[in-house]
Amino acid sequence: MQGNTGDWQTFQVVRKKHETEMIASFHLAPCDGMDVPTFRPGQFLTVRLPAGEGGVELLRTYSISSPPDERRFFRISVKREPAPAGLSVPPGRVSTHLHDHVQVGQNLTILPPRGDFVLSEPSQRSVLLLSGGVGLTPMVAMAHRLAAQGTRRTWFIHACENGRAHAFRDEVASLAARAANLRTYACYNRPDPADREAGAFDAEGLLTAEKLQSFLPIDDYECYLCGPPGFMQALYATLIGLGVCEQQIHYEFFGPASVLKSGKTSQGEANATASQAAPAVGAGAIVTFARSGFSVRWDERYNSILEFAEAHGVSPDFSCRAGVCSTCRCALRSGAVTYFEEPLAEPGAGMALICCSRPDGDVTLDL
Amino acid sequence: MFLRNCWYVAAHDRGVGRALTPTTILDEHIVLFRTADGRPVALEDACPHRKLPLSKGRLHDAAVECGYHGLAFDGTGHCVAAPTQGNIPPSARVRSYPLVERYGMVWIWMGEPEMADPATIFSVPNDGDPAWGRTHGGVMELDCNYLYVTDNLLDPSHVAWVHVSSFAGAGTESQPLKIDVSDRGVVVSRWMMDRAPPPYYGPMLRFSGNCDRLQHYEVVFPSIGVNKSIFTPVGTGGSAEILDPRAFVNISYNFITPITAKRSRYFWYQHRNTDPLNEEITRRMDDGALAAFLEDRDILNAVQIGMDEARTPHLDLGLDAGALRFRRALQRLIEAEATARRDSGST
Repeated sequence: MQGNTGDWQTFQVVRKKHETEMIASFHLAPCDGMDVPTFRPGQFLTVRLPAGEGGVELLRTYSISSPPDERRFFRISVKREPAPAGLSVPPGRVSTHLHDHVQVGQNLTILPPRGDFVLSEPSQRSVLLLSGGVGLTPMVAMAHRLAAQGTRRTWFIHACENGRAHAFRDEVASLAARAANLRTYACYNRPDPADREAGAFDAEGLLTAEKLQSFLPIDDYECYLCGPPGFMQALYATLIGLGVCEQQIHYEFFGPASVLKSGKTSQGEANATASQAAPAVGAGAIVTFARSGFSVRWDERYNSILEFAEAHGVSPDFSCRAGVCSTCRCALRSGAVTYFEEPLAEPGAGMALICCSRPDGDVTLDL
Repeated sequence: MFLRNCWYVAAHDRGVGRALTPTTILDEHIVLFRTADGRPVALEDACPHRKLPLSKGRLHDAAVECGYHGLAFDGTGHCVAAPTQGNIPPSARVRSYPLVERYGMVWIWMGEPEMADPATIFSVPNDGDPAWGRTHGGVMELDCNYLYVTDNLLDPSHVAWVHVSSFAGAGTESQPLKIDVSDRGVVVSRWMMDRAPPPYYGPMLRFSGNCDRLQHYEVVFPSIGVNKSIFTPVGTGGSAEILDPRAFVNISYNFITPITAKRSRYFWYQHRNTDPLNEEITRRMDDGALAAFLEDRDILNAVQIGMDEARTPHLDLGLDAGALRFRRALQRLIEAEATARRDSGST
């Protein structure tokens, strides 16, 4: 059968480290003592938590933050998502569980690295790594690779609240100290007095076009963008405004744009999903994941809408992946799909089976 | 729930003789026997008087006599004697089922008798070819619905878990399966190139080294499984039609006859293109098939209970794709048959 979601593997937590008050890293090593599978910097792991009291499995994707040359373990770095103030929604279930209950020596079930938000190689263009908050995790893996290669001029540009929320500052600083091609730029929204004393940041407030222009030389940049939705939208517009062509802007949302295994969305969860559509990049039909709140251009390399959704962090319910069980049936809010495998049972008007179909023009899915 | 206008295997021909043999097919009670001149007969197994099974009576030359009051019925189901009264009531008759002997088995037509055409009996290619060897085969009953058996016959993936001992070394296989749905049934198949021959088949191959291998799992309507294996020298595989002269072909025929909704009868034999007279190979293959089918039976009987008693939903997986397409296609045929029966006013 198509796809590789049968490849769940058990990894052991060999180290747990608090990077900041809210972000913890987990080092995951294969239980059989072998090397970890190779990955491309920027890719993510899918973590599965077994069904708990609610009776549903929970899936989340976390970018790998470890150096691509580190073969003993993967590192993922997880932000605890508390319940938002003033709203009666629970805290993020998976992040809370990982922070509070997963310790060294325990096992986690993961899928091998996936995702196509990856450092373009062997391009020799200069690189802008632009991250907001915990969106810096894939950038750390990319920075390791770029520093090791030592050839492409690279800016590691990070926006966060203050020094207490600034993960991997020392790791990236030491990379920059050793690699002449790597420079860093930190923009704190509300720096602490201690940050001012230490001179820990380069700029204050939001990251704006003016700030970028103040230090970035004019160049032909390959840009990588990861952060919360507001950051993404602002920076995307900024980069376009600065004349970067859209083919050279790669981006990934973070946070649970995924849904629960039961088919319910995570909209009630604390870390709300990306709330507005991002500009889509590339050619082809636009696939809108309405509940998750984003749109992406269809990519012909994916076999089905289901695979495409998973690659973008959405985890629709499924079982057979062969058009016969109807588990992945979902509402088609607009547009049409074409089936490469005839569904065994008609999905019904306004519905689609996404494991055996591809978009026929722009589509909006109730996912 | 059953397709009726089609031929099922009622028995091996060696299983029908000069004795009254009760059986149940598609929920219908039937008595099988041979007349004195050797013709097989299948009658409704219930005397029209008080429904005593005729199989509890006595067999005479060409008629069966009820063991209660001596009503006797010939091979067509007509009453030929009513010894307690002078006249035979015109309505004293039992249903007679069309039978045909072919491939060493007795085939029964469960539908409307006027539609019974022996030309529509499942066709076995190379039957009677002296170059081909045939096993003795066997029969067993399973305590499960016949569609769990057809599921199993369209699912190569269970081999790695169920037939750990009998077909050892089958392992898992990443080569994807191709599913073809046709008017005849469903085929799930794949060619696997340049593989080591499995130990079970290795000694029968007329070439050394690796092989290209076809796995062909087919179920033909209503419920006949054709499991074809081809082993051919590396580089000669890819087509089941044009075969290298050294290719080894083994076809397992599996004839599933529903008894009731939860009981099935399974007849089988195997047909190979080598060693037609080699009794040792025949015995080895008979033993291997029986061991494997007993393993299947153990699982399928428990599946029926598990599904009957399920308190939570079950899953359909990708491996079920061929089986579920078969079930759907067969269901359509069954519904079409029921519609035609209603339209024609019969029951």
